[in-house]
Amino acid sequence: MKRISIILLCLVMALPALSRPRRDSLSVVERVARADDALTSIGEAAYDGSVAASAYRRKVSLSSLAIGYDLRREQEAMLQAEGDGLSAGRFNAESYMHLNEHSTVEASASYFRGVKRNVRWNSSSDYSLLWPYIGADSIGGDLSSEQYMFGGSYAHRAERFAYGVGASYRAMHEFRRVDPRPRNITSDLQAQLSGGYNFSSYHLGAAIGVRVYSQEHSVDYFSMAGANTSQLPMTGLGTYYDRFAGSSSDYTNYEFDGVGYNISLQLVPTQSEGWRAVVGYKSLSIKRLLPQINNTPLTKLIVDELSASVAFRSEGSRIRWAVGAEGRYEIRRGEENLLNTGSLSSNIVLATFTMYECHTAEAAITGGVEFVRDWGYLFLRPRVELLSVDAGYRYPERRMEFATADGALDIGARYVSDKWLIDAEIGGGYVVGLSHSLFMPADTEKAMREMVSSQCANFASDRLHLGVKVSAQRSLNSRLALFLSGAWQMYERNSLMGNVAQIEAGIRF
Amino acid sequence: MALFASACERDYDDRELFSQVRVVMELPNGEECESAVAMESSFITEYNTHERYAFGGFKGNVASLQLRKGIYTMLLDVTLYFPDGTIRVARNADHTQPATAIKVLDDEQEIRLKMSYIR
Repeated sequence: MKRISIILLCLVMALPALSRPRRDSLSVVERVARADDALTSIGEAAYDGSVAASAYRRKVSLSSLAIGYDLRREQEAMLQAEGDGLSAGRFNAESYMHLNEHSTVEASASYFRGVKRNVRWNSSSDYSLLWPYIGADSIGGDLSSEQYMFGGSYAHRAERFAYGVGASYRAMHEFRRVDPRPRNITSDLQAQLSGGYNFSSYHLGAAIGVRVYSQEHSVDYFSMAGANTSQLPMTGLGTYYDRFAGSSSDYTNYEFDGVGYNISLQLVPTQSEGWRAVVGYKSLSIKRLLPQINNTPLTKLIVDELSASVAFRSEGSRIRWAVGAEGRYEIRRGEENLLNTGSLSSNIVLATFTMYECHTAEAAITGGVEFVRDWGYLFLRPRVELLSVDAGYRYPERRMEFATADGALDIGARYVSDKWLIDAEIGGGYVVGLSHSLFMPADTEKAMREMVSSQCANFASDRLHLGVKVSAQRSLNSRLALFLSGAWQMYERNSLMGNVAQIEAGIRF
Repeated sequence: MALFASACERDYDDRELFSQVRVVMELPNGEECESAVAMESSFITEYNTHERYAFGGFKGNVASLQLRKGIYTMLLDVTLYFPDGTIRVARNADHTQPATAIKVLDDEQEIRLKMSYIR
């Protein structure tokens, strides 16, 4: 695995040299200044889903190599399944390159290694993808994680048409060295085709993509005293598939097999000013099988998501501004299979029932304005976001609902000189819990009730969040610069604090 | 929020999940009782979820209950009350093991249990 990673990494690194890119006349400071500013994130989603559209993302080529360190500490975990802390180192390499007037390539490679602290009620990897159909136990512990990711794409731009093709691959290994010992191996492959038509100063395009996901999940117990907990195949809101709960290897090994697709339509400007919009739909279904029992299919998770984003960016010599709105609606359905008794060594699916359903709606409006000065700019970036989650388990009936509103404001400045590019920003906001309710049967197990209740209360709680970000880049020559950046974010809810810090250093060229 | 709330309403059809079950006791010699009450030792347990249900009371030889569709192991110990005032106890233990569990998969289903007198 490591050998393949290193080879691929070298290929990615060698790409700029092999491809003989068009020589940019701009210095690296100017290229960074043009590629990324305080307004870049507004409407960025229109470029993210299409390789062809992404060819219009920047006028300049830019590559970077960086190492970083991430630290998260929470007095009480916001989400127990993700633990109350993280310590991780990472390496990232990215390249966005216009080879000539018609061709653009993008490549990325990353390696991440770290430890999540005190993970509870989750022994699976990729919780944010698989919930609620994970494996879980009440003891948990620290979880070590190692992840590789590679991606590449090629886009061709003609006068009237543009097309692109791209793919990415992610592999992850998570494990624990004390009982219960999960060992999960994940692979996640995505590929995409996109194309579109150029008219006036816009590109109107479509993209279609596929995703193949798999995770081998296993939990072992090495203690001579026997297993210290059971593995529970969770099925949502504190429920689990009781028949297959236990510590036998028949019940602690799962295989998650997923396949999905996505389609989207994009409108992006061929210059930096103008409208950008995207509407997309994606669907992913992931089966959970028991590999030790003839691949008995336990459950299937189906996630459908509709998203849309529209933004406008205006360029001016003294003032630049952008405003954008985005929304997302996700329906997450869980199907459970009714199995026969397996008395003849085969577990036949007799019926399938949709037992879990969660609807998530998110909407956000973001604005931003940059006041251009001789030395750089000052900026303001307000944001308002609404979130609504409504989850239900069918029988015995359970229901959890909450809604929040978040208002936030970032302010900052960029200083640019011949050799230096310095960004500094400070931001903060307040999340208001608009509503929350939780219904669970009276005979719900105490531990399950506490787990679900804390999750609902944490996400629905009022909380203050603040953040600071500083980045400094110094050119060594016109093509190469060193950079160092740091960020810190904190939140406070019910007198409990959470802190996230990141530091990153590297080169840009 | 009103938009979200209306969009979040679910349409669960419980008829698909549950089965209306008639449990019919077949007493020796085709006898009919007036009423019957399941004893504490009785159980109906779904094999996958381990959920336990109760037989409740019988009118004549029949009990009606709603079960989640599934595979059921069951034991019925029942006190029978006959029109002539006789009280007897009967049992069916034909479906206590996984191999003999009963599938309840239809929207409406009848389960016939051959009873034996034990008292």
